[in-house]
Amino acid sequence: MNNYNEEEILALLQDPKTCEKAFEEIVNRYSQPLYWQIRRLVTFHDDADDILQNTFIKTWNNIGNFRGESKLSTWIYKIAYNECITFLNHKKEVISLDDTDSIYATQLESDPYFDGDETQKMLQQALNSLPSKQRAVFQMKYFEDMKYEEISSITGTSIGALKASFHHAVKKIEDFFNNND
Amino acid sequence: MNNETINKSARFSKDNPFTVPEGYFETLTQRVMDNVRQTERANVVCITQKRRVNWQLWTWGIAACIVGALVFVQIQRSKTSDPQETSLLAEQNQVENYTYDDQYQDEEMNYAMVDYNDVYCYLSGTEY
Repeated sequence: MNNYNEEEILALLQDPKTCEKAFEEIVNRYSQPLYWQIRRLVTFHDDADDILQNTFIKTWNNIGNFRGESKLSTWIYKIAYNECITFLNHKKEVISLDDTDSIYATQLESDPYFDGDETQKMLQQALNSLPSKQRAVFQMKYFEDMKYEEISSITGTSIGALKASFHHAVKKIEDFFNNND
Repeated sequence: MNNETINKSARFSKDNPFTVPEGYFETLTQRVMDNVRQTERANVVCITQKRRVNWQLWTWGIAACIVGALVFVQIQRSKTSDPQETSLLAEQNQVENYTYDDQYQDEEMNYAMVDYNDVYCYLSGTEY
């Protein structure tokens, strides 16, 4: 099953006989870009894989609630975004603030699936120091070149607030680099 | 502050520093679908099935409201036709009638300047 547009996939989802096959097409289409978006937010492969699986399970369980008010991809990205924010907030609650930076640096150092140089390590540490939502906004805008309108529909935040959030994130990353040079 | 500024000042690129285990993406869809199939099927309905269920719920809800309203009206009716209450009402009406009759009689008798004794004598044909 290939080359279906979104309307065709939605039509297939409405038929119990083709519902599961249509969902497989959705997974096939969005799993890789979703994985990278999640991975950039949570850094580590195992966490990203868990969140991706949860995202698709939630998508499948709630597919009957999708009313087509937004694009299907936006709806799925929104679920993934919420999963990531929940995960990051929970992680910050579990690990005390003093330990967060050092634990993260150690984990990153020993991560077999991280190929970055020293500057990229510093960038990951700077990103890790940002509040979860601010980090997400920065990732979507800077690394994925998403439009503010699109980010707004995923995060449910106004465009003005997103611009301010991105501006603050940039300032904090610059400060982080200046302080750690 | 724009992307160029941050690129220049922070000296980092948009290159992806992350990698994945070998063959990860080749098996990803299959693994996701396996996980999805393991989720409780009872919770999963396709778009049309879910909508149909909603319509059924609406229909049953409306039917229940109508039946409820009919039952309520019937209960109200049966309350008003309760024999105890009916007799009480009848008694009340009788008292009201008596009161009205007595008042009317008294007024008429006052007007004619007669009393009950006069009326009794007249009706029995005896001398006063």
